[in-house]
Order: sequence, then C-alpha cells, then structure tokens
Amino acid sequence: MGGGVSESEAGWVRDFELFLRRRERYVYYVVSIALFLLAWEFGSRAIVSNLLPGIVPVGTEMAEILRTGVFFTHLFDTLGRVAVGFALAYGISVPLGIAMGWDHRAEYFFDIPILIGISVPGLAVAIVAIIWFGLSELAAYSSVFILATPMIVFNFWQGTKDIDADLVRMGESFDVSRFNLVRHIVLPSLLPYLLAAARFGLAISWKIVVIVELLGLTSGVGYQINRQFQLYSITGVFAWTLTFTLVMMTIEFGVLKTLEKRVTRWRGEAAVGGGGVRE
Amino acid sequence: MTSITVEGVSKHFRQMDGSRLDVLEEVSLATDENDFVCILGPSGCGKSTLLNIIAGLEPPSSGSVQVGGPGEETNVCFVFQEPRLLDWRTVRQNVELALQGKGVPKAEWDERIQTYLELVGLDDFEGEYPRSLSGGMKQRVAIARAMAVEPDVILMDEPFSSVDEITARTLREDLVDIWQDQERTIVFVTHNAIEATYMANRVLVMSHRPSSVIVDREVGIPRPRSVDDPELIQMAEEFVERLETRARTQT
Repeated sequence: MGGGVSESEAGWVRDFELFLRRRERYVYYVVSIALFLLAWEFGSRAIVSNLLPGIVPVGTEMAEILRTGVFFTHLFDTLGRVAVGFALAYGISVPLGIAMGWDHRAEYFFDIPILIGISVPGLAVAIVAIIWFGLSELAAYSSVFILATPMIVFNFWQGTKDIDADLVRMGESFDVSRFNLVRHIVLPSLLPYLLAAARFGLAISWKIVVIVELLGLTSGVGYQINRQFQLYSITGVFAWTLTFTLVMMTIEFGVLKTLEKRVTRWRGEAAVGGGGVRE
Repeated sequence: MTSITVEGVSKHFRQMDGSRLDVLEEVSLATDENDFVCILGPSGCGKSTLLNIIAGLEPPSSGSVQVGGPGEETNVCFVFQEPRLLDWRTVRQNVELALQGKGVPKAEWDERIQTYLELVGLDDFEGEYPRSLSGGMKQRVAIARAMAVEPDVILMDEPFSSVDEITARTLREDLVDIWQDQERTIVFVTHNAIEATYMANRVLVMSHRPSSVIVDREVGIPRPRSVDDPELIQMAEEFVERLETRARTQT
C-alpha cells in the first residue's frame, strides 16, 4: 500500500515543522538579515554604486582593515575612552540613583538636572567639551560622563523606587541584619536595573565617543570614519562603521545578555518548564 | 510556652492633611499558652496594625503589650497576606534567610528545613524557585519559613485571603493540624467569619475604625471541626450580625 510512503513523508514534514517552530526566532533572524543584505546589494546595483557600495567592496575593505590590524588600533583607543567615561558615569550614578529612589528630597533636587541631561543633544556637549578641554582624551571622557550619567541615574532611580517594601519588611520581621537586607533583598531587586543601566549607558557612551573623535581627536573609530569621508571613500566609511557596529553588538548580546541571563536564571525556571514544544 | 497580653492599646496616625486618624481604641486581649486566637474584623479596621504592635514593629500610641513573661526573650514570627518570598532564592534558601536572621545555628538548618517543609508537604520542592510554585504552595513555604524558626508566637495576617477558596480550605485544615502538633501560640487575623470560627480556640471580633474588641468568645466546638457543622455556621453568623449591628449604630 502507498500509505507507508505518505506516512513517512508526513513524519519528515512534521519533523521539519517542529524544527522550524523550535528555532522560530532564529529563522526570523536569518530571514531578516538575508533580506537586508539583499536590499543593500540590490540598491547598490540599481542605484549608483559610488553612492552605495556593494557588499563585496565593503566586505573586502572590512577584511583589509581587520587583516592589517589598523582597525584594532583605533578600536582599542575608542573602547578605552568609552570604558573610562562609562566607568566614571556608572560609579557616580549608583549612589546618586539610589539616593533619589530612597529620599524624596534628593529626588526633587536632582529631578530637573537629570531631565535636562537626558534631553540635551550629544553633539552640543561634545563641542562644548572640546572647547573647554581642547583636543584631548579629557574631552571624550567628560562628554561621555555628562551624557551617560543622567541615563544611568534614571535607571537606578526607578529601580530603587520599585524595590518591594513588603519584602524588606518581611526581612525585618525575621530580624535579618541590615547588611543581609541589602545583600539578599535590595541588590537582587536592583540587579535587572543595574544591567539595563549598563546597556543604555554603554550604547550612549560609544555613540558620543565616536562624535568627539570625529570632531577633534587624532585616533579612534570616529576619527577613521571622518578620514574616510575626507578621502571621499564611501566604501571606507561603510567598512569602518559596520565593523565597529558588529563589535558593539557582540559586546551587547554576547557579554551583557549572557550576564543578564545568568544572574536572572530564576526568572527562566517557569518558562523552561512550560514553554517547550511537546507532542 | 508563651502568652500574650495586650492592655488598653490605642493607636492613631497623623494624616497628610494634619487630621488625626484613630485606628485602635482601647484594645485589650489575652491569650493562653499555645492558644489559637482569631481576630475577626472588616477590611481596614486596623487588625494588621494590631499585629504590627504585638510584633513590636510599630509602637502603640498608648497602652501596653506583653509577650511572654516579664524580661523574657520571645521569638515572634510573621506570615503575611502575600507569601513575600524572594523570587531569586530557592524554597530552601528562602527558609535559610529566616533561620539566619533569627540566629538559628547553621548545624540545625538541614534538619529544620527538612522537618518543616515536610510538615507543609513541600519537602520535594526545596530546590525549586518560587516562580514554579502555585499560590497555595508559596503560602505553604511562607508558613514553613515562620515555623522553621520555632517561634513562641506566630502572627498571621489574612494569610489565606489571596489564595482560592478550595486551596484555602486545605491550608486551614493543615494549619490546625500543624498547630495541634507543634503547640505554638497563633494569632490569626481574618475578615472571614467561618474561617475564624473553624480554626480558633477563641474569636475576637473587632469593629470598624476606630476599632475596639466588641466580642471575645471561646468557640468551644470540639475538634476536628467541620465547616459544614450547623453550630459552627450559626456562631459565625452571630459574629457577623454583631458587626453589622455595630456598624449601623456607628454611622
């Protein structure tokens, strides 16, 4: 009978469907990226290729700057500036944000400055920093500090306000010491906000560093992007931008997301138990 | 073990607009050792405030509270309306936090956790995170957490009002069993008359704000009790009637 054949065929199709459903997220990722690349290549060929270079020349240029190591030299300069500025901003934001969530006087006092800090254009800050500190590393650090701090503080502030006071009272009712209250109740409550703040803060930091480098420094990814622009090398602009974006994405998804998943493992428990596809 | 004496306790708060809010007025109660007392009253009548005062978390405006003999160190634990578990700690770690806070020696932790999780029927779940437990199971963990400290007095603030009725029934039965087995003083606050009458040795009915004790009555129905027992239902109805009469004369 033919039934056997069609049955095994159905089994094969079903397995494939199951595979797709399990990997649904990745299927969409791949389709999305493929469509983007296709649109890029098509645009390059259909429009004018000296305005929008194709995948091949940009890819070749990317390989070249990676091979010669010139990319890494400038990347490390940029990352160094991001790291210093971000560390300063994060360091001051922890006590400031917690104070704002804890004490309404601190909240009222810093509310407006934080709001202004979040709204102010990054370019303006970069220009003022260069006027004040000259074409120096200090201009990069201070720009990052001024722009990232309000965003990070905002996160901690909200996080501290969201701490469940009932849980703290529970701890107090069992005579849990002040140190352990902070360690076991307050900090774990803040953890998602600490991570979110790091992600927002880093994203702002590298964007502003690139602007400062473009405006007035003699090294870094921003400097290189500007140099390629001066040389009328659109391919170079694309290659540098794209490579740098990929590095920042790796940091974002590879490091921060993994860290987040690890420290908030308890959140996943229920989802893992009930979320799988079962027959 | 330990008895509680509350004498002439009043409590008032200063409101935002400056006016005075009288919550408790001249409340007195006394429990026997290993007693099970239910405080029955409408929502917002200040029952929780009274528990906080007994626990020493809030001072009374006037009056006195005595837990245990004079100068005696007593151990009081809370079970709240919500389980108040830490989602990032396993069931075991949640109990450990209480044991550590109350200064129970580490050498006893294993045995305590084993004993009390078994008592609430959750000994297989010590490694689970609260997210994977149902509402009733979480409240059981909260009960185990308070019991594991082996306190002299357990204060319970409407602990079953946030779980569904069928689960609540089982929890009530189990709590009475545990209490009979463990012999501890329990003060249990509720707005559910049947619940109070089913569980307690004695029921104290509290009026609307400013609250005072309007009924203090020994239940006296032999255990094990049944929620369908007409005598029990009638007594519960009497408590509710007293509250209603009082509410009418108050307004």
